[in-house]
Amino acid sequence: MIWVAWRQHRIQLSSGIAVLAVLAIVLAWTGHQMTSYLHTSGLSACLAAHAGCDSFSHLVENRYGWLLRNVVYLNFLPMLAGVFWGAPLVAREMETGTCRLAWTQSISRRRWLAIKLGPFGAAAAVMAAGFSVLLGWWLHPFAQVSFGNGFARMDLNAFDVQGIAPIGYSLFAFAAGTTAGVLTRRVLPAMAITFAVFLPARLWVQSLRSHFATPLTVSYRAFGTSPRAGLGDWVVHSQIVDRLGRSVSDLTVITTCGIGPGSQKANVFTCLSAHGFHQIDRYQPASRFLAFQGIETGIFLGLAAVLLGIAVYWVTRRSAS
Amino acid sequence: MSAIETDRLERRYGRRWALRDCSLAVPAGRVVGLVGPNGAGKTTLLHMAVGLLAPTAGSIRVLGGLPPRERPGQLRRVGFVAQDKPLYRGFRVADMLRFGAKLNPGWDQDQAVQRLSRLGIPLSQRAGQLSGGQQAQLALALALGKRPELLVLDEPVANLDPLARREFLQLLMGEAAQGGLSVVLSSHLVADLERICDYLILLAAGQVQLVGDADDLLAEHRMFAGPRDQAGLLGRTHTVVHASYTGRQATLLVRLRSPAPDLASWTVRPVSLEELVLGYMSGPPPAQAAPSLSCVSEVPA
Repeated sequence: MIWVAWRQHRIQLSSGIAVLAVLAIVLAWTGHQMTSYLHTSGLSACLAAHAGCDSFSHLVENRYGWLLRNVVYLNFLPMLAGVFWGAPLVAREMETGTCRLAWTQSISRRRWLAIKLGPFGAAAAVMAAGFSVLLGWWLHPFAQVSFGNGFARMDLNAFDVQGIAPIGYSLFAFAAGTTAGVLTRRVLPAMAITFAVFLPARLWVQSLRSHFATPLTVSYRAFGTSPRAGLGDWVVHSQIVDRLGRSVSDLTVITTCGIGPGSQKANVFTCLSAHGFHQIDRYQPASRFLAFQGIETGIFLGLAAVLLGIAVYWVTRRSAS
Repeated sequence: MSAIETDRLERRYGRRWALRDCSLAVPAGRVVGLVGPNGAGKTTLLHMAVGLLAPTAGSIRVLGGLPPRERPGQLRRVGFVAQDKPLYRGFRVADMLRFGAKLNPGWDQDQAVQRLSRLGIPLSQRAGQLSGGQQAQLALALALGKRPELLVLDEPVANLDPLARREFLQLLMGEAAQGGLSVVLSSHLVADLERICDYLILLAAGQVQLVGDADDLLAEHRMFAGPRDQAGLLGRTHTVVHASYTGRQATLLVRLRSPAPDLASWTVRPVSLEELVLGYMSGPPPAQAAPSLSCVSEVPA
């Protein structure tokens, strides 16, 4: 049975695997480069000693910042499972009429769909898991380096490409592509719909993520360094409040205390504490990584299950030839 | 047991009727031709018989059981060749056979290979590179390979050239002659069916217009030619299916209700299947309406 799916889709499967293999080699190579640079530059030793390593961090940023920031594009990888594997899976057979051949053999449509969905779904999940492990390793050395957007596991850039969430994303994309194909019966519209559905869904769930659990708060001196710096927290919200706990804008603080190029550091801090200005961060601690990954993956697996349910129902009950 | 039996079967696409109030019985063990103009509902009826479509209303039974749509176990008893002969174009012929073998427990690989080698279709050729005639033959070999009890073909020769058409029908006749196999094939051209079918169903405008054993139908109908002013007289004792007039001359296709009348001024001759079908398809004569031939009233008891 599996042979039928393999024979039919082997080019799609193997070209997908080939593209990902090339990407994996690039990641492995650059990952190796970056790790060895961290050692030779002395940053690893500095971080291990828990010293202030800002100057080292800048060195790393100058050299590899662009590469790290490009990690965000890897968020598109799971979508490819939907666009190139899911969308044509059934739609192509409907477009070319071969579904009339397939559906009049001696196996039920449910079975037919299962032997298509099974191998592709498994391949999508395995590859997402592989990339997740690879990127976890790739990003790991930078978890403690902070420049601009962080790369700690809880930060948006890093959270989305490691752990089990990518498996949820790619199965969701695959299911969305398949279902769009079943409903539109055309490959190209199904691809376009997958593209149009995947990103909004991702962004929507991402916007909910800070509410997965009630954020913790930490309060410290305005414009000072958080006592939790370097612990890998995801700072969801940060603001300056006055003595009464009312939010004040940075500009108010700056004008009130006359902060400027010539102002004396000591005077400024005296002014800040006199007015009771302090910084309040709401954050999700790194210890919640696994729980958040579980919730995020659960949401996308749930969506995938619903979409596949629609596809199965439509193919077995509704779909005409 | 009927190969296909329908009872007030209906299928609607949105607000458009493809088939309505259709009750018929297709006998088993015969080669049945389903004729009708394009858009008559032939494909709809056949798709419901092979399980590709579900009825909107009414019921259909296939080989004495539920249709494959409702009972997938029936799929192995029914072979189907769809109108456009869908094949996986990138598959080699051998791959198509392996596809058939994997998806059909009753698959007969030896016979399928022999059949194709007799036809000179190389197993290493890609399905998409075969000629139209060879693709049709491969599609038929796939449908026969599962050793069905009922073979359904939707316009099998519609887009084949005359030579390929003859070869295909010969292949089909050879298989049908081996017995035990019920065959239903549709066509909008009666000429294709005349040599091969022994039972005829005429479908037009989503309804059955005529049904019966081909020989019986030919025996029941006559073509009358004679003076136009006496045409009404003939209609009193027999059913005029179709009338055409040229000047004072009338040509009437008549269904006999009693032994053929001996009218001095008329010439009587037997009809061909094609004339019969054309007559029923063009409908009742303009002057005098024939009794309505609905699907129900035409089904033999």
